[in-house]
Amino acid sequence: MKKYNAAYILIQILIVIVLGVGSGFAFVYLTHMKNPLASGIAFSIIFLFFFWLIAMSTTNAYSGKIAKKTLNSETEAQHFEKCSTFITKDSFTLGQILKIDAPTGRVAYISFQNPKQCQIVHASELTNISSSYIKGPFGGTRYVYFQFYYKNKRVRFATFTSRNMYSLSSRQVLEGISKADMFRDILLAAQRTQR
Amino acid sequence: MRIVRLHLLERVVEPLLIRIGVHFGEKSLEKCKECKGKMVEAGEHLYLLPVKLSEKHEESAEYYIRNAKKIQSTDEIPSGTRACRMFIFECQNCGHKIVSVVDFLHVRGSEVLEGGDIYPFDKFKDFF
Ligand SMILES: [Zn+2]
Repeated sequence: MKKYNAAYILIQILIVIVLGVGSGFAFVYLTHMKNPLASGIAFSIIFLFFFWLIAMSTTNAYSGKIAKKTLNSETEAQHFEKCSTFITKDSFTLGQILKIDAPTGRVAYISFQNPKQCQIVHASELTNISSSYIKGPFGGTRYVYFQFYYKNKRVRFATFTSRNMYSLSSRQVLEGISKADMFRDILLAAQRTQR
Repeated sequence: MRIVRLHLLERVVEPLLIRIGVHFGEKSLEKCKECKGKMVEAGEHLYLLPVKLSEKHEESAEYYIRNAKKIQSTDEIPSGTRACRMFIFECQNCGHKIVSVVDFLHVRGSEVLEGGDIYPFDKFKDFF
């Protein structure tokens, strides 16, 4: 599955650069600073960093809107009927949506950093469908997921993430594992449907 | 309020302890509320619920009666689907009966308590 669209990412970077450098020099110009070039560059870097943070933390919100729209119109056109949908959209992670049509076994995937391209394949084209967690020290975890491979490339969805380590027997982790197992089983069941 | 209490309880007391019937919230499973006689377990049933993961549902005897689907073992629970155990407790002294519902999520052999309560047996008379 294609997760990144170079043009889309470049546009976002360009907007950040234009906003950052523009604000940096505008700030220096408006406050009548000495050494306009040197101060302009310095403030540009500060503003660039600032806009970069904003872009990183909000990209899932605005890219997600585009992605959802693309996915919905595409899956509607392709007559997806009884769907299970999984969305990841935490800030600073790659937003993704997976939509599985149980009766036909079709799987629609869209990445928020490639929000104009909805990719639809049959579940039987996916391999190594599994669910697990990343082990941390002392037998805990802060990451539970389900994943599959498509053409030898891994696509992974987190069902539980945390900054802190959680015990494997905690409610949060167990619910995450349950969710991951559920989507693993939905995908496995979809694989058994006729193409 | 009841849910909050259950969650707090769950953190301290494992579902297993509830199973044995020490306490369920403030309601005791040990003593008959009619005659203070000793309550003993008089049956256990397992059901599937039409609820996923930690979704909320109406917490009432009527809800369980309408929606619970009998199964034989936890092997029949699809991943991510809720289930509940119903324990019937009977007073050894006067025969008073209650039903303790333990609503849980079965995850790879573990059971996460999600809800449940104690109900008068009368409500479940025709159900079992
Ligand atoms: Zn009694």
